[in-house]
Amino acid sequence: MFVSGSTNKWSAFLLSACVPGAGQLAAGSWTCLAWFLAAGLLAAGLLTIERFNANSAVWVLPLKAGCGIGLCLLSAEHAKRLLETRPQAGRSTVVAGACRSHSRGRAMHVEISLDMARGCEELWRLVSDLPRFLVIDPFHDRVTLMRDRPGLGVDLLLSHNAFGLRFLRFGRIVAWHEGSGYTFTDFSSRGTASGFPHVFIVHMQPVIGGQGGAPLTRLSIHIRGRWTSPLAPAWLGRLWVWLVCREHARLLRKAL
Amino acid sequence: MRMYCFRCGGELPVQGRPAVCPQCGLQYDPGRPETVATHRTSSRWKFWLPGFLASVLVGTLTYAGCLQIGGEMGWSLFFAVPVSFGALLGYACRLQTWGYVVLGILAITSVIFLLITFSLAGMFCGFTLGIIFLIPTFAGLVCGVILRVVLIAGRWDHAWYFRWFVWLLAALPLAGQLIENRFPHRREIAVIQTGLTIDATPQEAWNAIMFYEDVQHPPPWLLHLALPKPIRSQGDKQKPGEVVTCFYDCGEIKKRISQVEPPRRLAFDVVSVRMRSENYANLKDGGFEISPVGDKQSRITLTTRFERKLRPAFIWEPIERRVIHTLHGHVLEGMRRKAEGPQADDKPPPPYEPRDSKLYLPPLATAMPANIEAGR
Repeated sequence: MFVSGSTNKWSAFLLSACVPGAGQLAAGSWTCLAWFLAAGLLAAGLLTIERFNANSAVWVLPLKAGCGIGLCLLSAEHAKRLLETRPQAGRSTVVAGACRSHSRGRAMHVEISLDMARGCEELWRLVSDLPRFLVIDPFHDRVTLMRDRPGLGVDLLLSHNAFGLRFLRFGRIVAWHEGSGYTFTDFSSRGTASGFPHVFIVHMQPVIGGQGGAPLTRLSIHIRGRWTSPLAPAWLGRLWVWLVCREHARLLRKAL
Repeated sequence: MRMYCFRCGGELPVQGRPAVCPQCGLQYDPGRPETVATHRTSSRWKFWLPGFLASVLVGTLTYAGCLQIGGEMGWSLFFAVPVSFGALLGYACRLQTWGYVVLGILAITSVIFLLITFSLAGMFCGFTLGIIFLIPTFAGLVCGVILRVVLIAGRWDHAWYFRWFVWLLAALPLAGQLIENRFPHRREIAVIQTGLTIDATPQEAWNAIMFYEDVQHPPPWLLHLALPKPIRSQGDKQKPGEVVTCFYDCGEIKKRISQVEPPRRLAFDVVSVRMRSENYANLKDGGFEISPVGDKQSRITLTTRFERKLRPAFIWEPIERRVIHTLHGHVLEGMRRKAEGPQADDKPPPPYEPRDSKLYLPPLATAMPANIEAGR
């Protein structure tokens, strides 16, 4: 349609959440027309239902709210996906992947495991470029290394963007194994006791038995943390973290 | 150029080499501008915005929930809802006193705005609700602040868990509404009458009888805000048993003409009300009474009977009376202009004579026959 420029994925998300199709328009996609049409048809349909059932307001209001919110969310998610990072070569090299939760109570532990048709060295070049690799995440917006090169003890500035809301979190590389992986923390500015403190453990290992002798490497990312919010119960936290990690796995699969 | 730490906001000493913040220990490199902030970051919104949004959301949803549950529009809707969202506001926000006042007013305004936007309240009811919500919201706000302070200061072992359960405050109005519905109130039939003496014979006054929808001159601002916009009426008002349909911008009311005694009395029963907006009163019937006063004058009395749905009465009753008297006054003025002819415009409108009364009926579950209207 036209070049979308530097539209942020969350801007598109919020636009479409308000007006289905608006985010697609901002992303420069022709699909906006389909969403506008869908929104128009839904509005017309609901008005017709209301006209013919003026007395049944008990179910008409929830129906209208449900359909409207559903369409807005679907459109918002589609608009966001239109602006996500795509693999450089045009095709993903991930051949298999899994996202498993081992969380118990308030202790969160989710494992993302991806088998990739890349050599260990090639993958390490991608994974060790932290400012690029760490933004393949649902909420990481920009990552700044506080020193010139990544290494043990280097602080990280993790700029987050969640649903259009930008905030900073702070981390530190607490383990660095050249060629095989690293671990870094992700803490709130209020300290380690609040705001879901967690660590990312990134590990790579070659897998034997790739098809046709092609190199195969397993990239595993463990996210371990503690659900500290007093406002939301632990089960909700586990569900939320698992959903975010699934999204993280999907983004990695798409981008690598 | 001054440099500040991204984490603690403290000012950083300018050095030529990578260093750490002397206050919080975060690393920075003066040679790389992306590692330092050029101004102090303000994160004050964290102390009030989440709590404010939660409070507005809870206020709107619980109001809608109480309406959906149905039954009485009473204490739960007009007191428990503002107390609930006020308490959440007080509990979840950390501000100075003036901040609470500003945020409380802002929360009320936001809730009212959302209620009007989602057609859960009209413009007039929205403004009225805004005033009614003031005291309970601030009472709830104070309770919320006290609760938070007590929980923080206390040494109760389970305070941490209780801090989560305090969000059940949001369910308070819904539970209140359900309880309120379990205890039926006596029905209250309000009878509002407004009289006007005009310079016309009873026959002229009779010929000028009209409904609200037929009045030609523009209605006062109160009726613009409080009532749906009238469009027209259809049907013969002078024929007993005829059903007259009154059309509004958001629905219609059907009235059956029950009594026609020219030129003395015309009465009607309200058969059905179909409105897309919320009904705040259950209309019953009404009528026009015309009596001669002297040789060339007539007194017209308009009567409207309706079952009150809004409680508590001490808040809503004066408002209802004012609206109905204004409506009657508007119709009577229309009749006067029609009956007196062109000279009516030259004279100032005579004062109206309002008169009100009330009937109390037992709850529907134990209703007596309609003709035994006790407690007049």
